[in-house]
Amino acid sequence: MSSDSILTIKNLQFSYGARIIADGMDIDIERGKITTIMGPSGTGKTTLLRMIGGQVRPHAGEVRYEGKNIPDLNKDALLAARKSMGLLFQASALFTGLSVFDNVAFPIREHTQLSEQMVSHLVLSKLEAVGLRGAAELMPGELSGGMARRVALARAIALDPRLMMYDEPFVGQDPITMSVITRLIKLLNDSLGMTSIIVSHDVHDAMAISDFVYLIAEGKVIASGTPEELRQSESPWARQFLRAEPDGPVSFQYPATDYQTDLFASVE
Amino acid sequence: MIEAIRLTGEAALRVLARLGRATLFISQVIAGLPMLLRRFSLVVTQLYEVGVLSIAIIVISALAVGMVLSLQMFYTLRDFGSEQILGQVVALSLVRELGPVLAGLLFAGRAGSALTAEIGLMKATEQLSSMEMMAVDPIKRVVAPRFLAGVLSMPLLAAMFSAVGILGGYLVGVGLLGVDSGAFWSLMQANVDFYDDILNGILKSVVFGIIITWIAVFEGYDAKPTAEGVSRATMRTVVHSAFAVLAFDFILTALMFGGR
Repeated sequence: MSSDSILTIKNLQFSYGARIIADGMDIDIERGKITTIMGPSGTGKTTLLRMIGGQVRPHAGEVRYEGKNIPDLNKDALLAARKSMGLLFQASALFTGLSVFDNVAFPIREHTQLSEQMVSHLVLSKLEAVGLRGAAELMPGELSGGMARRVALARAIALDPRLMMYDEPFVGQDPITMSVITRLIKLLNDSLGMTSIIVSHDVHDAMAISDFVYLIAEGKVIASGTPEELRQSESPWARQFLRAEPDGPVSFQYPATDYQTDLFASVE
Repeated sequence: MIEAIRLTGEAALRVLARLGRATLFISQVIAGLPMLLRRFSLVVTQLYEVGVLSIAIIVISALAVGMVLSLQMFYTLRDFGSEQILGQVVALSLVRELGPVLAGLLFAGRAGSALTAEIGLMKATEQLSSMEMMAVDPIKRVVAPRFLAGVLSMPLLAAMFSAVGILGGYLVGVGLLGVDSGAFWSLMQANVDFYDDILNGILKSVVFGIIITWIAVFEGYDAKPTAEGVSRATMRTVVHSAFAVLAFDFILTALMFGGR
């Protein structure tokens, strides 16, 4: 564990039935840095974020955030820890019954006693940061996917979290929105002094802004290092993933019985 | 044979586990109710959604039920020369039974299904998860106000059903069929007891309100986060609420009026 770690995951174990998500996973997130956790689809990256946020309880191991082991916290302590975290959901998860303004104001109104004028100033400044101050009165149904993602980002940073987590922030975005979101993540991390964790399988954009990268597969960290170190890695996993090669340790086919047996079983 | 016993046992265990989850869930909801004293505006919003928006279906149904009841009763009572007690019969039927039960069934169909679908969709679109990550307890913030609003609305809607039903009975009985207006109201006044009839009817509607809203919010919160899961949960709310209302109506009626 680094002396300036905000989050340390140690010997993490978790599975959904036979599907292993974490099998002795160790991850260290350094304060103030952007760390990306990459891996093939279905490796449990989103579940990992949910374990950090205390929404999913690991079967064993530690998820130590600012010195406190998240799975050991009681409900009140967990809620207190979450106040300093932000999570950008893959599906944006905006409250459909509230306007853009009220969505961003939601955490501020819930956790502070600020006057409505002050709430308004804060909300508009967050919306300005994501370039959507002009959309404050729109409803979530009136937003494009990229706009919804940016509103969700404004809401996630409303209380200036110390740890910001992004779940697949680039998925389903057009190139312009993708570049805007990439720039925003970097800008927010540096200007607000946050620590960022990006979960993604978008190699190009995620590595461009990351200080450190973890590559996970089959419940373990299979490679880690700076983006440059990872590019030079000789690990077959890292090579296949970063170069998008179809052949390698990660199989395209879901485990199945022999193809010929399946095809001709009924004939015999 | 063994397989059939095993499957029955499994099904019984699933039902018991679900009942256990529902009980734990409602205890968490009840623990969240005191917070609503400080933020009663959350309840007021839901009173509008759950209660006020159900008024139309309650009033229209009650009027129709009261009119038909009056019509049916009039011809039966006339055979015995007792049509003057029409007001009493209509009022007792509505206040004791039809008001709470039919209002309960309509409430389950209109407000219960809406509550389940809303909470289920919030779950499916990760709105509840995002609320948790913002350190806001969705049971306190989303479920508790809806539960309280449902429990408060149901007796008021049932009372409204009975009142409008009686009015419908009056319009047909007195206005159309020629029953004496004075007899209609005075016999009703003389023979409908406040404690035995009206209060027991209100008590029934309170019980129905708790059960229906409990089923509705639990089904929404426990729904599988998919389109099919929310659809099934909504269907279960209506079906289970209807069964529960009818079963509890029998039990409560036996307890309230059985010893007479």
